[in-house]
Amino acid sequence: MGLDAGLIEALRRELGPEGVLDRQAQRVPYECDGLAFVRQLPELVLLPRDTDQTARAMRLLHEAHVPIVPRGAGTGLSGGATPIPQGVTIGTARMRAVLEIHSVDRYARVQAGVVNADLGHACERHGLFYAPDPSSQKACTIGGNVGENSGGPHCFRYGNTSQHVLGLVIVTPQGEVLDLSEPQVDPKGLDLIGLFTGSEGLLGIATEVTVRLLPLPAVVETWVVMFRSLDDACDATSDLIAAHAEPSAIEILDKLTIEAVESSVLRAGYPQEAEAVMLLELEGTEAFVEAHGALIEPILKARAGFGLRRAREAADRARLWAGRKGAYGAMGRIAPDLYVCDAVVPRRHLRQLVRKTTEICAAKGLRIANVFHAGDGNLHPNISYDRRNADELRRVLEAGDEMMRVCLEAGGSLSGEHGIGLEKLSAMPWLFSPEDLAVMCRVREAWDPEQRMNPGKLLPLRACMETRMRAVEKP
Amino acid sequence: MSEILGARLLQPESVEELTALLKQAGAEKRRVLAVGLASSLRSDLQLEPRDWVISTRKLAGIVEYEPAEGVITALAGTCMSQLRSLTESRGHRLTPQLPSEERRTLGGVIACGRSGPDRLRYGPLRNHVLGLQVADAEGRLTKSGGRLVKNVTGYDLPRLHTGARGQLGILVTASLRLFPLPPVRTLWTTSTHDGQQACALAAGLQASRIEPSFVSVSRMGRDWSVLVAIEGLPAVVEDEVRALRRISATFEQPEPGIAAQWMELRSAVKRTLSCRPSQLLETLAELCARPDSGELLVEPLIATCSWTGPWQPSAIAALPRVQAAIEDKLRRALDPHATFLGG
Repeated sequence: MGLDAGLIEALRRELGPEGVLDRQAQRVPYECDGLAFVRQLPELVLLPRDTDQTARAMRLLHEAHVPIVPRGAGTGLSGGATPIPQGVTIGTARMRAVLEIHSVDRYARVQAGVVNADLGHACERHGLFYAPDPSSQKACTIGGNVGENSGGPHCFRYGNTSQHVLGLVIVTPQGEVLDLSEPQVDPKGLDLIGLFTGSEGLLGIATEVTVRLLPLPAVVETWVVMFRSLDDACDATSDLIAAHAEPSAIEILDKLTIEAVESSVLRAGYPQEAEAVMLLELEGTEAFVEAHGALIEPILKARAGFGLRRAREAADRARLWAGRKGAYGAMGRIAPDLYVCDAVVPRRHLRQLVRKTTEICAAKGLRIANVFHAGDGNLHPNISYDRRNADELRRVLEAGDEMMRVCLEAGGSLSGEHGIGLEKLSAMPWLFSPEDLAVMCRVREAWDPEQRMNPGKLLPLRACMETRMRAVEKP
Repeated sequence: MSEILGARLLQPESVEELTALLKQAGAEKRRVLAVGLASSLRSDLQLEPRDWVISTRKLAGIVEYEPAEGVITALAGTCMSQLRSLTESRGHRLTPQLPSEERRTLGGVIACGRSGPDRLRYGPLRNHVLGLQVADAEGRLTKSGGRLVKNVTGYDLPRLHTGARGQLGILVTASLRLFPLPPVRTLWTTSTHDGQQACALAAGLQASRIEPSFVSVSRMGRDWSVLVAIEGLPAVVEDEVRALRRISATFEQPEPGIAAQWMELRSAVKRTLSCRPSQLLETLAELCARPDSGELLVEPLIATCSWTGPWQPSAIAALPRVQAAIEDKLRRALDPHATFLGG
């Protein structure tokens, strides 16, 4: 059953022919996001140009009770932008304008479809930068980053997206415009911006984002150090945290990742005898970088770190980072598909949990490559597989579940930066009680009583149904 | 103290007692004001004799503190000064840094969304509330967030509760992110006769590469003073102090007592205005022109001005319609019988 032709016509009148994609060939590119083994053709794809067009489209869809899936660049890894049957996908691809960069008040106001790295380049000439740097930053959008509360290597020092969002323009599920774009020192009223950030498209669509900018540091120094075991690299991380060292990023790549990187075009010159590579970044004044370097180096040495290289020049630093940034691409050499798992664990248990995840995959005959934000305890055990092999896919998903369970048992959580989406929906009750989930469902219903926004993501349907039943029983 | 503003003050000694009281309040259709030590009540707050004030001050204690993790979890009634001395003894910096911490509880500080001047370096309080356990009006306990420094699982309800003044539930336990305690902590001060000049000095700090923990400008009597906290590893502090004295050679380490005097002023300020940094001088000029603004405390790099006098800025604009409607729906969703009064 398709959408009503009259509705499509009305949408076309509002958005123009380029804003409405209804032919199958136009819709196919939208059938999945980074969680590529789940595919669903959207009924219709809308590409509004601005807040006003988004609001007008959302009003029409509200009147017609049509479910909506918001989408940035579709780089998300948890299925947050997977289309839903009978649903319309609203993409921000035509909302690409950097609206304002204020160098004194240090903020930028951008349309939601601005690519993360493009914002970075736009700020650079003002001597400023935007801190969150997801690995997909060359493609992912600021709006998508807001939806998922995205992270990245430098979030160790600077925090996830929500610490950098100063303002939002939100189109509500009913098509009303909630303008919170003026940057505030503290929220006036409830912190709706904080609530919206990371709400995974269930509360509305952000069309404009005001973000905090930071001054570019005087000195940036990238370190690469090798370890003879992954355990040593993990222990060195825990030691750095315990010693209160303050690098901006602490990243670890394991042996399989190193091999994949070194045999690809992205080779970064990591020695093959290393079982683990750690990347660190120090940012600040010359004195800061020197002093913190002097604190960090003996900690790495005490864990038998070797082959330390330090680079300050942008080109040299980029080479050291190339292996990390290109790790996911390089893994394409191992197998056609990659399941990028995302879990957080207490940082003092890093070694045990990295080990356990490796054992779980080995027991299922799966190849696991670890490349992760060690400083935050944010693991990314990545499993290389072939989705055409149904048995392998089943084992991948089972391993994913098992890894989640061991992380939760150790006091961890389901996601550090990729979100829950479809991928971890069934794991939400492992972490949250029915009462905890019911509160989240009530929050959702305050915004979207029809539950038309991104249904079937983030919050298990059962939890929401139970809330509704209670509401019916107790008027 | 057995009552506040004519309403009965209840101080449950256990979480079970708290939830039982909430159930009773629900059954008796009473309104409830949640407080910690009631040190920051809204000045226009009015209570009726039937209302209950429930204080969490006796729900105190550390739930979990693993120094190697950099996270502390405590019951809402735990005193901020206790949290500070414990965490400092293990090399951690607790933020926000507030005046009179012995009169503030963890829950109260979060409910009021109080950030300290140290937000300049560490960011506002709402960035650091990692997880919460909250009791709703029916006495149900629910959790959100966690005890992890990075976590995006589920809605960020800790942010919704931070600054919500207890309107959405009573905070029972909270987890806060901690930071490394800088090994060297120094204060520097200079004075001028002119507020604009004092703020210009502060702006100079921002233009240089100095990263102070806080910068504060105050007017006590006719004198304006600038107070700067420079903290970090010894070599970093040395370097930044040199840079500070290049901006103005008049910066000196203050006489003992200056910090206490400044903390007192922070306690005494009644109202705060925030603006854009680019509008600070204009805002400050307006404030200085008022004869009834009293003593002033400016955080120039955050762009807030606070004052001790009775002056009130012209009526605070109401929330825009769409925002007010969503807030109202959220309140009704989480507190359907409008049990909780925002204090």
